[in-house]
Amino acid sequence: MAKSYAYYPGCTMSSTAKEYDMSTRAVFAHLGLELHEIQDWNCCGATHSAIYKEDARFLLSLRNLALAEDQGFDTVIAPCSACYKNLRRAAKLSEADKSICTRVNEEMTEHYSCAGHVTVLHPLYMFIQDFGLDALKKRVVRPLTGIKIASYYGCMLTRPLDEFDSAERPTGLDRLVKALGAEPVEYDYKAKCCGGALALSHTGSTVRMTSKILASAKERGAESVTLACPMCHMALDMYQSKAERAVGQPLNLPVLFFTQWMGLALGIEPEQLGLKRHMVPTAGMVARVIG
Amino acid sequence: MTSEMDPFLAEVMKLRGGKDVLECYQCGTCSASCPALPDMIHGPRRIMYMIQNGMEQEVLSSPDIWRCVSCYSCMNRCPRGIEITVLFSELRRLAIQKGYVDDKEAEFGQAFTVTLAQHGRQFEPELLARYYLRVWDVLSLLRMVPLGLKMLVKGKLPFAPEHIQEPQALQEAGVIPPAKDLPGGGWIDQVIALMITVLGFMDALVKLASGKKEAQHG
Repeated sequence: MAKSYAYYPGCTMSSTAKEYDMSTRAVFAHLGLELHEIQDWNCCGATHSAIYKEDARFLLSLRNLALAEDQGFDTVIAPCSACYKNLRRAAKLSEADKSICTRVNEEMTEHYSCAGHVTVLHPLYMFIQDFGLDALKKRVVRPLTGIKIASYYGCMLTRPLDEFDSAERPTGLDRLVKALGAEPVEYDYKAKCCGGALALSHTGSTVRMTSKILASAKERGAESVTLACPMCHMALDMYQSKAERAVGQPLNLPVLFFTQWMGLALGIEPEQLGLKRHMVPTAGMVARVIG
Repeated sequence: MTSEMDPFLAEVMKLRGGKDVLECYQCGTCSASCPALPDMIHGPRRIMYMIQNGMEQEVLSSPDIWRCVSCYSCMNRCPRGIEITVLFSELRRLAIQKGYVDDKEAEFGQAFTVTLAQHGRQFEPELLARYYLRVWDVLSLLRMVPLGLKMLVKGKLPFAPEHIQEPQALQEAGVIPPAKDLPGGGWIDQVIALMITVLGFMDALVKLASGKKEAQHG
């Protein structure tokens, strides 16, 4: 029987990062993994959840976990790093500290058991741990041979420290793209922040941080960047032209979600992966894979 | 001991991430790890020291708490196990509560939360409108226009908000304060309502047009 997961898309997956949503769904379906969107899910609050009320950070996340539990799931897949961090931390903290859970449950219409029955996973580490890279390798029909890809981890995929990867020198994305046949690029800024959280209010800060990441990847020979977070994608893809002005040289680094690279390597049609929705064109990379 | 403790320090120690603030021995690992340090005045190390010394006004009115990018680098590396990133997000709430706030990120955070409370989900056009109506930063807005247009062309901005079934439930649970606490809330809400109506009308037109096209092809 196919493994069945609850899916928490988060808000950006139907707007700025629609291609991440498309490619995630396509890859899961292709690998025979069922993904069921949690009915009536709400925004996790990103980094602003506690701005009016302390408990709101738990309330917003736990309501989603309560819905998943009620709808019969034990594992929630959350592809946005910020949503993933919020939901996963809320699940763990509520399990460890029942007083938070009782307090929040009193205010919620939905009831969450907080018994640790619901696990929150990022799809990257689900593929690595549950599905397995060897199994994935066997499904590759269009290997990404010779493509130099810089993996960008950002922050909330590996921080605060969790069991899946190193917070200082993470390797998950590198191992994944290698399994797909690509050549991982080592560079200095793979786990440094892109500043995406301040993209609108303090654009200059975001551009400064993003420029360092992209320039460092470029210098080490990267032809493309891969990542696993819609906020990082906004900074590295949408703000790349601003970063180019800041560093005074062209960067031309197409930024693909890891699920898009997976889709290409697994033989999924490019139209299903939203590859034309990027600011930095991806056509060159697609041509390298499909020929 | 407790009776002599500085009131601001005592207040911070009750916050999430604040209980261990006296453990800080000023090693500076946090500030050395902080990617936003060039944009800060004090940096996290000095903020910790200032909290220990009860400097409420300096801490809560500093731009530093709004320049934090929530990257968790400091918290991950702190040898004293202080949850610095969590504490910074709590200091933001305290700064808003006590009226110390003067930073564009504070306005963005509030615009974000108000939009969330309307629908239960984010709606980017409304978030952008609420933010720019709060800050009146015309220059930044103009700089964003080329990117905004590209986003529209690439279909990265939705026309209609998605709703959860009962967004009121989140409001009642106190995710946002009562409307009277929102600065300028009244007229901004009216502008937003108008914008959503116009966008909804455009959405309907686009759907009608694409429907006709499909009918012709079909």
